[in-house]
Amino acid sequence: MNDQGVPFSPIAVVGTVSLLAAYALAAWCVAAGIAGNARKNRRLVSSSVYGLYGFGALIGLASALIIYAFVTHDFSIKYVAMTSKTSMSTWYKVTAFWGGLDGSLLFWSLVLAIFSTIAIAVNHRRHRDMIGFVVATIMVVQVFFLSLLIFNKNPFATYLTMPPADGRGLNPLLQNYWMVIHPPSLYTGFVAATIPFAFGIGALASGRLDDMWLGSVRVWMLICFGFLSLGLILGGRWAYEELGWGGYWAWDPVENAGFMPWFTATAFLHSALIQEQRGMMKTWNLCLVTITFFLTIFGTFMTRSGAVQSVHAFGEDNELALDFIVFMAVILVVAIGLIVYRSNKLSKKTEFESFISREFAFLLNNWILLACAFFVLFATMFPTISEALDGSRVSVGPEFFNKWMTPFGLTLLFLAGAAPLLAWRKTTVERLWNQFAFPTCLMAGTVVLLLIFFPQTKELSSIFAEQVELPISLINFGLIAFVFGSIAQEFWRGMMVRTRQTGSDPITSLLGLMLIKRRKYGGYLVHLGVAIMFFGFAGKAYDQMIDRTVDKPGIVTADGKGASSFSLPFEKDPDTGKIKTHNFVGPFSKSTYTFTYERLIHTSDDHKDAITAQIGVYDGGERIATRYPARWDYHSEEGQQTTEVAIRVRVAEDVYLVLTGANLDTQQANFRVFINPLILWVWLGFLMLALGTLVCLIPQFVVDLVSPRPRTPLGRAADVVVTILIACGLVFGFASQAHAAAPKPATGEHVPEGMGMGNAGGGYAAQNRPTTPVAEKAMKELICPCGCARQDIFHCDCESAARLRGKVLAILDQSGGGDEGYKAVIDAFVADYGEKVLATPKSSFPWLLPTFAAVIGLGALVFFAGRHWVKRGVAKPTPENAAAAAQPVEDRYVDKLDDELADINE
Amino acid sequence: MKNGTLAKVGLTAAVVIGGGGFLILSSKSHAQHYEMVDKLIAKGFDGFKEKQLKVHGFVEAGSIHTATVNQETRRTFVLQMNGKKIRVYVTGPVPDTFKDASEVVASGRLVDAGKLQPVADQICSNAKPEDKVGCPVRSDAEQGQVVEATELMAKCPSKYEGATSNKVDTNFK
Repeated sequence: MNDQGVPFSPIAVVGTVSLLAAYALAAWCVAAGIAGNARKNRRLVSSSVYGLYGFGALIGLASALIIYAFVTHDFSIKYVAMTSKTSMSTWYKVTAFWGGLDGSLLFWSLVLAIFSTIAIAVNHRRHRDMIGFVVATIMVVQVFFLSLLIFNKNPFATYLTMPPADGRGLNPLLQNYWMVIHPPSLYTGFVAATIPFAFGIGALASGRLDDMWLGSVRVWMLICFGFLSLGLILGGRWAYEELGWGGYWAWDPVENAGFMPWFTATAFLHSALIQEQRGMMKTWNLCLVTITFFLTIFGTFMTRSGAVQSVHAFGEDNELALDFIVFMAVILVVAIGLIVYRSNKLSKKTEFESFISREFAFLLNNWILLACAFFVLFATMFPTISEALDGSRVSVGPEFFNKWMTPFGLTLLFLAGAAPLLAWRKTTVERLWNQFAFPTCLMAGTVVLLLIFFPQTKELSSIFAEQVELPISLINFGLIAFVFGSIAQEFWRGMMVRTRQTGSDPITSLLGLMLIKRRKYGGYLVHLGVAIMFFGFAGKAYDQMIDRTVDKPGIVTADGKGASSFSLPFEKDPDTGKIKTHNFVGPFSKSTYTFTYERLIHTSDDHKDAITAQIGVYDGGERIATRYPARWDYHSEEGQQTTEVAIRVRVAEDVYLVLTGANLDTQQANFRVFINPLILWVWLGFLMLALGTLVCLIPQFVVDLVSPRPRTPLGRAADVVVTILIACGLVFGFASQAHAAAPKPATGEHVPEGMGMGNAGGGYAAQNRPTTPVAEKAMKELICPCGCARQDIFHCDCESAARLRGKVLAILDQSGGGDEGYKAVIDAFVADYGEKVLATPKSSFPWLLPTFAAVIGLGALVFFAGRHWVKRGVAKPTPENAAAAAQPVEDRYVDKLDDELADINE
Repeated sequence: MKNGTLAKVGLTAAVVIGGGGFLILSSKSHAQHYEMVDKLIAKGFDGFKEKQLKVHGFVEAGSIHTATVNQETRRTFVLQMNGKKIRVYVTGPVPDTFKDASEVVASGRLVDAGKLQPVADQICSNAKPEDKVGCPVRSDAEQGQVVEATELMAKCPSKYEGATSNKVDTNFK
């Protein structure tokens, strides 16, 4: 507080000043960049480049200050008070940086500053004649976001009167690791789309419309694609785990906001290949980078302005809406204006030669992806459009989305398998037969097997309109088999060619192939991941759900039968006698599920009351799992309840249990049970997609690093010795991390495994709870000697932990608390139990050394092993090919050569 | 393969217009009206009968009554906005953020209030003693029509409170 009693925060002052300075610097960079390139003034261009770096430093400072404010509980800053509180863990305090609107805008600016610094540093020499325009474009975006921050949403704004003693904190539903990393993933994806847009505008403004700018932006669009995919899947995973409605995607406006730019980014990654190979689609690619960037801004506008009514929207702010509308108008006017201005330079040199060509397949792919983006946009904005047209607000639901997106998706799935099989320019009949035979046979065989063993897949579903019905599941599974066959064939043939060329073993050839042609084969892995995800999506058509109320928990027989068990009998069609619905029979596993309600447990701790049900899960009369769905009621969140679902993950289906209500007096409980077929494959498919994206992103210098060098016998011996040392280091490192599990004390009371309620075990857990922050800190530093998973005595709920907590409180009472009391507690416990009782060793060295040894050793082992593999796969140099081997080979020419050689060989 | 520019433009326009027109036509069968409580009441109920409807409002504090009837959890509560109110009936679980004063969208259809009076009576008679405050509930106390909801959506727990902007008010001493 200052003398007038107004809250004073030096962090807020410095933070606001740094934002103002960054704003001024960004404006300078815009002017200098444009003037520098327009007048070919190298100094001005350099000034704008260094200004961009300085901008990054200022934004970094502002970001560090706001994080510091969170960690030090500076509640005089309104943003900190709104999104944090003292009792939150440090992790959630740090991540509260992007937990609110103001901070998320600063986070956007920070990520863009980091990305633009890297992009400009890497490219400014290669693109001297347009880098000024690129910097100016990026800085215009930064000026926009800083305008919002400074004039509207300052994260450093302080209270004018007495600040609160504690903050509001974060809703417990958001205190979940998926929800922590979901927003920054999406933001990173959004921000990454700015770099290609900036380079596109730079190319248009400078007139440098060859393919050079494309090579600089492809990796950024790949980063955009990767992080958007990650953000979307994390959001879905959070919804699945946390919200208890059994699903992961609902076509909500907030979800769609992140999905739309994903479509156009994917389209660009494909059409960029056509421009590189055939010099076509230049205008198209420029439009795509513009549309992708536009959609990232539009999605943000949609969810924060109130333009779309949704309970999942992030707020309604007319002032913010107007700012975004003006900015979007500027983007469109400038971009379209420049494209029209340069249209004569953008005319293509070549034409499509055949419909049966890879170019046409990519074009079709682009059209469908664009159609998907605009359909989602149209359907999401439907209420706003209908209100503008006739005054009534009308929305469309998930069923409408699925009717259109399903056929689009299946077409894309087909193209994911077919396009790699087609040749550039024109595919001959012989090649068609040669390439398509195996995948088509695999598809046909899959369809036949499904019709025999899983006849439910031939059920008809409507697409586009009610009158159009097709066996969608059957088509889906058939196309998945087609894609698998196509990609497997590509890998096999490439591997065999390389094996013949290099004389190495198949595995070495495969690894070498993927490293040399990582764009191609990384892309194939992404396609494979998408196919696996479609396998998971297919299960949605077969999910089952019931609500059940069971009056009392009870004892059941060994095969799960009793008064407290529940399932549904099969329903028979009265006309045909056939089973009408397969209730709780896994549609692809044929498992028959029943559930038993065994007990209801009520526990409470400092933060929440928890009601947990113990459910036995039976498959065909055999008990396969015990699960604990729960409801938590947080004391400090005005009655905020959270649903803690219990999921039994299986390959063919998830068994998903929700405790929807319970009466502690009567022990009556309400359950909702889902059987979600094939959902595991959605998450697994994403992992494959992420792997493929990472393969595509492997930089050339990594490939060069693992390339072999000539070695002497001494060098080979040194390799062997180093490998042995690394292996020993790994063994030592992992062994020293292991701890023998001590037997649990007989008198200890532990919460049953899987209940997941932290320290809410009741009984001992509630004894000797900390009464001061120092006591809590000390208890979190001391490991419980009972050996239960190395929990500290604050969290452990056994008798030993309760007794030791009492000892901590007694020592603190005697020593008077504070730092001295804390030290006295630590010293006393170390004297009794040794340093192993500490959660954090006093000296970091013995703790860090095994970890470092393990990490470094693993990395070095991969490096040396990779080098050994690649070496085995490289042809021995001969006089004939030595000169050729000395020339660097570009991926696109290698791909082109392979395709043409394949055509010649047919 | 060579196509005239005019043919390409014509084909593109045909696809866009045809596809767009088909899209708009097909959306009619899936349309769901979306209204705030006050706007719904101002417009009158006649235009929304037999139609799927989403009603957006805030739960009136103290209006939630819950009971288990025939192994199903049944609820009734009042949605209000700007002083206008409408009663909602829903069966099954509700979102975690559903509580007094929470922002909710109820999806369902309009039904004559009298038709669901027996449900209101059942809820009141089966409710726990602490939930009987406000009972008996008159189904037509707010409007002649009530919302029979098949789904409830409650406000996402987000801190993006965008309504009020933060002005710079830091003391620079």
